[in-house]
Amino acid sequence: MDLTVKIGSLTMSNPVGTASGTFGFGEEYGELIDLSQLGAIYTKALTPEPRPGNAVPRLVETPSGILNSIGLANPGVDRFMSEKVPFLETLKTSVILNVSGSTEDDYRKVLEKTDSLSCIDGYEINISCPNVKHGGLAFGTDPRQVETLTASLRKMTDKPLILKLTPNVTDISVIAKAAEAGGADAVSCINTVRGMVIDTRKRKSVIPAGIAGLSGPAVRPVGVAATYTVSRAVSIPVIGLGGIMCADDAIQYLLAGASAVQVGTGLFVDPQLPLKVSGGISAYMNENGFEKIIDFHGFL
Amino acid sequence: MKQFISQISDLQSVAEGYYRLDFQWLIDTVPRAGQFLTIKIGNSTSPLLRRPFAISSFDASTSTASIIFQKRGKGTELLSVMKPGDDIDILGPLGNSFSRIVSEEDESKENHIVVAGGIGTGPMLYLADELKNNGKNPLLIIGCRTRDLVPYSVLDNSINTVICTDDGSAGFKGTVVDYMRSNPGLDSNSVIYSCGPEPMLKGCQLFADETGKSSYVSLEQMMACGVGACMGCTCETRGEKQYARVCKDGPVFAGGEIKWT
Ligand SMILES: Cc1cc2nc3c(=O)[nH]c(=O)nc-3n(C[C@H](O)[C@H](O)[C@H](O)COP(=O)(O)OP(=O)(O)OC[C@H]3O[C@@H](n4cnc5c(N)ncnc54)[C@H](O)[C@@H]3O)c2cc1C
Ligand SMILES: Cc1cc2nc3c(=O)[nH]c(=O)nc-3n(C[C@H](O)[C@H](O)[C@H](O)COP(=O)(O)O)c2cc1C
Ligand code: FES
Repeated sequence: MDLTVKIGSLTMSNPVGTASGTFGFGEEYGELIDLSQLGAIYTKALTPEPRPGNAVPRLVETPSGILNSIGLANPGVDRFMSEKVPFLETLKTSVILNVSGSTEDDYRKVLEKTDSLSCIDGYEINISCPNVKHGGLAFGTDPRQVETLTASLRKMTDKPLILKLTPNVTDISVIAKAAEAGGADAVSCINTVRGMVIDTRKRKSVIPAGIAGLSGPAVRPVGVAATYTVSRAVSIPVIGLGGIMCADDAIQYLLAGASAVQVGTGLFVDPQLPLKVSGGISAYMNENGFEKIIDFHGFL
Repeated sequence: MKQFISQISDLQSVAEGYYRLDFQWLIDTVPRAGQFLTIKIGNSTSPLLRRPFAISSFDASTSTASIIFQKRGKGTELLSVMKPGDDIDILGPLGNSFSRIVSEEDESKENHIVVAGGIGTGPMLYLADELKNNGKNPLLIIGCRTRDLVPYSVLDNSINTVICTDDGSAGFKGTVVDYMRSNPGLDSNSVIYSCGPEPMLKGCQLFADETGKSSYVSLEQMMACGVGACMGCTCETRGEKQYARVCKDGPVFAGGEIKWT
């Protein structure tokens, strides 16, 4: 049985990774999970400058989910190089750097400074960020911006380029096609779903920033549907995520057309979950006589 | 820090709406006062996140750890009806601890005032115990709204303890800060440690500043990962837009580091 997954020039040892923003830069969970058994680590968002993040509270639990507004809190690329890279260099696991920004230039700056690092095996481009030069509308909601940004980054790196799609659009397949046209090696979906919780006693949003991002089991059907739609629209691999809490959830994504998956919010509940999910995927493959991950495809 | 499945050895009500839960501590790392753990309550997606609780005592001879919790919402409601022998999924010990943060100079001071309120009572009982075992003579001050909320059954009568109630139904009538103000005997060679509702922590910090005492606080914040990875549990610290993670950089901070709102 072969659990490996190819994304561009990269071969991941298995299809299960940890989702950006839920796993830091890998170090914090090192005591709780064998990092070498992960298919990939998708890091916290990195921007050129450090970002302190949003006002608190940044989190609130919702029915079978959580709403977050972290505000891309991260150390910035310079401190990333001095504080995080030494640890990442010790890992054998594939490391995908999640890149965020407010302008096209921001993304370019991060790639410029990190492309030569051998511990970075690929990029996941978070296009759910507001583009300050386009009235603050998220990059990922406009196919032209997505294609331009992808093409611009494509010229800067030979490493796998994964465009991370937001579900907060009318037709996600249009955005996925734009990423493919720009030269992306893969797309991942979904980022968080826009959501809001109001404290009726205080008559205020619980999260000071107002609208925030919903994740966890509540969004799983949204993620599976997005994966199903996108994998029919493009011929590059699709990485599925959103609400994976067990192997069966991940298998839904694979059957919907994903070639790999990520576990995010589920890690908060069970830090060992990614390994349980990859174990469950191989058990399912065994039971059903599947040889490769692509054997999941073509049933729906 | 490890994740392990333990069994509940005892669960008792200790005051109105407050419970003490004892369980087997199955790992080698000894939890220190100020540290906490998270519990996955039930197997469903509601409640979803693990719930954080501070360690309220640790008995090395029997490897038994305890928490004291208040029934607040769905998670703690479910926890309060669990039975001895039931499995619980523990992740800990998490966070720093008083012993890691308190400066040597403060540690060697004469007077140690340990202030607890509400759900902050557990960790402060443990801190008072730790100080006592280190040869200190701590003063424990517990603030409650009313007598029924005082956890008498878990108090150690070898520790000098003052109860303050808002309504005067037990002990001193007034807040913990009112009590400290009315006792000028507490000289500046003192350290105040506090854990409880934010107004109480702020009050303790202000009192310490005014009277030249050192102050340490243990904070609470909504948490998701509990291990420092998600940046969800931050508190604002001194300096322009500076944040620290309560779960990893805290929960214990020197009071002067925090930007109080
Ligand atoms: C470091 C730390 C130590 C704590 N120690 C204790 C303790 O010793 N004893 C005790 O009774 N309580 C303690 N708490 C608070 C306790 O975690 C909450 O009361 C509990 O999570 C409530 O869960 P619930 O499902 O019953 O209530 P809910 O209805 O879900 O929530 C009630 C309130 O609890 C808080 N809360 C809910 N979920 C979380 C979470 N994941 N992280 C943090 N806060 C949350 C929120 O303020 C919320 O408004 C501690 C919290 C932290 C962060
Ligand atoms: C606390 C938190 C922080 C996140 N930070 C990022 C981020 O920095 N970059 C990004 O692309 N996605 C981020 N996400 C989105 C997740 O990577 C993922 O797309 C989403 O949560 C859905 O998956 P899940 O339900 O398994 O968590 C974050 C999610 C959470 C819960
Ligand atoms: S709860 Fe995730 S960083 Fe503190």
